[in-house]
Amino acid sequence: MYKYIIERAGEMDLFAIGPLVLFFTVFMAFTIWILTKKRCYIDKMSNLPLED
Amino acid sequence: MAQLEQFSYDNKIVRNFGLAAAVFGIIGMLVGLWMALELVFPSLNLGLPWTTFGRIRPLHTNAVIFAFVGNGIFMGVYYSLQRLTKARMFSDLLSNIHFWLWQAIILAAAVTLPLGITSSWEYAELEWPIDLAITIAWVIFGINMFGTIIKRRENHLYVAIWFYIATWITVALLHIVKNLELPVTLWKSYGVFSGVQDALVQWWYGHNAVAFFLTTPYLGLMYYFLPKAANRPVYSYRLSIIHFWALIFIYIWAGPHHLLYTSLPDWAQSLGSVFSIMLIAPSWGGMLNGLLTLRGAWDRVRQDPILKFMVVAVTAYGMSTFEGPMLSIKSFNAITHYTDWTIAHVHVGALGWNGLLTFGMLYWLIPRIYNTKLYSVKSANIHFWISTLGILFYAIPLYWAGLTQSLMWKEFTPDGYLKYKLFLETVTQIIPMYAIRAFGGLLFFSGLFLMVWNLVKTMASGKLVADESAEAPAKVAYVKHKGEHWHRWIERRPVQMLILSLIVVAIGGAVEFLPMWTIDSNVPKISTVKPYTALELEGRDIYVREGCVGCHSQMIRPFRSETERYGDYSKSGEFVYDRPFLWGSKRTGPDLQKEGASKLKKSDGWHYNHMLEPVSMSPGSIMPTYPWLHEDDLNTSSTKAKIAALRKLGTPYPEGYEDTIAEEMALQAQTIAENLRKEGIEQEGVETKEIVALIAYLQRLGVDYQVDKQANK
Repeated sequence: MYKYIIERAGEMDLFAIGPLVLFFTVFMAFTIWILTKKRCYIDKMSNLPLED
Repeated sequence: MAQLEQFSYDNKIVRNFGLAAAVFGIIGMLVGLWMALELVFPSLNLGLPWTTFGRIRPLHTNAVIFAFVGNGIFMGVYYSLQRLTKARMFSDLLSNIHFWLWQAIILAAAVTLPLGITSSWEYAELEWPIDLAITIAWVIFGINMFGTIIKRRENHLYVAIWFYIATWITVALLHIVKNLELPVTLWKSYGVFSGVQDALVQWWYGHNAVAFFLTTPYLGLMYYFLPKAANRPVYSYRLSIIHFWALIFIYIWAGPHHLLYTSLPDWAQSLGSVFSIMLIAPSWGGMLNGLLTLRGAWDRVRQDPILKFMVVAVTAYGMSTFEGPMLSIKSFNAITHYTDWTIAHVHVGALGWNGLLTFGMLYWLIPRIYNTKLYSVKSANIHFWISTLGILFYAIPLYWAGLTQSLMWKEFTPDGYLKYKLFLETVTQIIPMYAIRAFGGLLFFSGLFLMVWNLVKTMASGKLVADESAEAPAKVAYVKHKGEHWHRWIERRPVQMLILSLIVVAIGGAVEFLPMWTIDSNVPKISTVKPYTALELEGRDIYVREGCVGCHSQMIRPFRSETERYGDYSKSGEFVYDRPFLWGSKRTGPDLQKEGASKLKKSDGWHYNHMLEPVSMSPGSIMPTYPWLHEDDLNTSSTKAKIAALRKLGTPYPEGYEDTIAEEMALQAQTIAENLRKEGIEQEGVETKEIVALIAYLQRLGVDYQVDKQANK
């Protein structure tokens, strides 16, 4: 079974691996960005709708 | 500290869109209720073409999506955008043009769809002049929205605005690509794509119409109105950002899950399945973020009908976004597709998520812009319970009906024959479920009247604050500070945000389309498949006009239960001249892809009688009667133009074919008329009637493939 998967792996083309890599990159970039934001920024943004 | 600036918010435009949403909600759902009843009492079409199921189905879907939800989006966006940017809308004139043009488009749809003027693409049925008007309205909305964002006094863009931006750009992209068509006459056009490619573009569009018209703008609205109604900030702003990017990135890829087991290439189907399953994560991220916003405030949910509406709306969003990925798993899809399960699924989303959130917004918003209190909280509570019960009475019988019908389609006797050979048996079995569904629809619909009454009373007890005074510090030029994060740069610049959103959504579309457009081998040709004759083409356009695709698929999946019933499974090469493709997404009646071939073939007389009075051929049938096809003369005034247009698009009609079609059409019609006479059907001048063209088309279905199969034997 595993041998079969590995043998087939060579046929995986751009359409299979490209989207995955793209998604992973974009997802990780925004996740890291938002997780490193300071608390005061997050609080300010969260409260924007309640300000008017 | 910058100087405080005085300005005002435009509430009149918010009120106008709100009223339009309520009015079109009533109209759209009334049509839906009528259709639901037609499935139980087929004679409810009153023998008229304009009220027949196939023609009013697109009227219902368009009215609910673009008129009810569309006006709901604009109401919410025009209210929240002004407040989140601390600025009045960019231009009152553009706001008003947008409003009136959108209503004119709805009116045009309400006239053309019952007349049978349709492109037949689900949720993109409107013909090209209306498509152009939609483009103009959307551009006006975009200019107004971006104008407001650019002149804003608040530097930061709240996440709701991100959702609005992504919605605007993606809907623009979807609308343009989907409606690439060549006009033949003022009210007839043919799409640029045919067959499998048309199907792929259709469901890239159709799925993302759900994603970017029914979902992303409403998520933006949820992120604004839910915190407002609960008077507490969103549970996690961080989660909202992760959820936003993940959602818009993944959604755009998921379209092919509408085409599982069809003749779409397998890799595209798998792509659709995988991304659909991944969608659970961002969707549930959004749902949990909405529900957890109410943490510590659940006691208020018990008293406040607005919060009740919003909680059930978000829960319905969670349910349908769990169900969607499940339905995208091939083995599950094999059971549910083409059945009423799909109809139940979309209504949990449309009634629950869109409907209840719109009601919640209206109940919250109208008293505020009229500077008064909601007239009757009790009535709003009753409306909430009626709607919620209505959804349950709507969805549960249809899940049951879908599963029942699917199991009946697939059941074999111990000897290996189909147990329910007659498709009709699987329909009559579920008619009681259709009746209960109609009751559920009636409950939901009656709640709307309570709401309208309550809102009218509320309006009468207050006065519209058309220009609501506000003040905010003037915008100061932002000075970049050292070590600033790169995302701050994007976030302050809506245009860059727009471009990035476009890139993110365009990648998905490009990966799906490019191989289909460029690699010929993705659509293997079948040499015996030839273009339709002129008469068959006209018959096909009648099939399109009557909306037959609303109940009949033309796509036989590679299951034994389907090949036994309908003949060999469909190949992509069989559809190369189909503009539009007519695979359909629901079988209220049987599949027709090989209706004219092999064991399914019926006589011309059978079709003649069946279209005149379906129960005469299939006792118990719920198909409407089509007497006008037997009375109206076939209009051939644009047949030549149609042939020329199709040739331009790539259908290999020989040069000069147009000049011979009059003779050829007469000959083919004459043959059918003679067949009818042989079967004892005497109708004077039948050869000039529409029914003959339709019979010609139905008898052609599957014939070319049969020829190929015999040749290869």
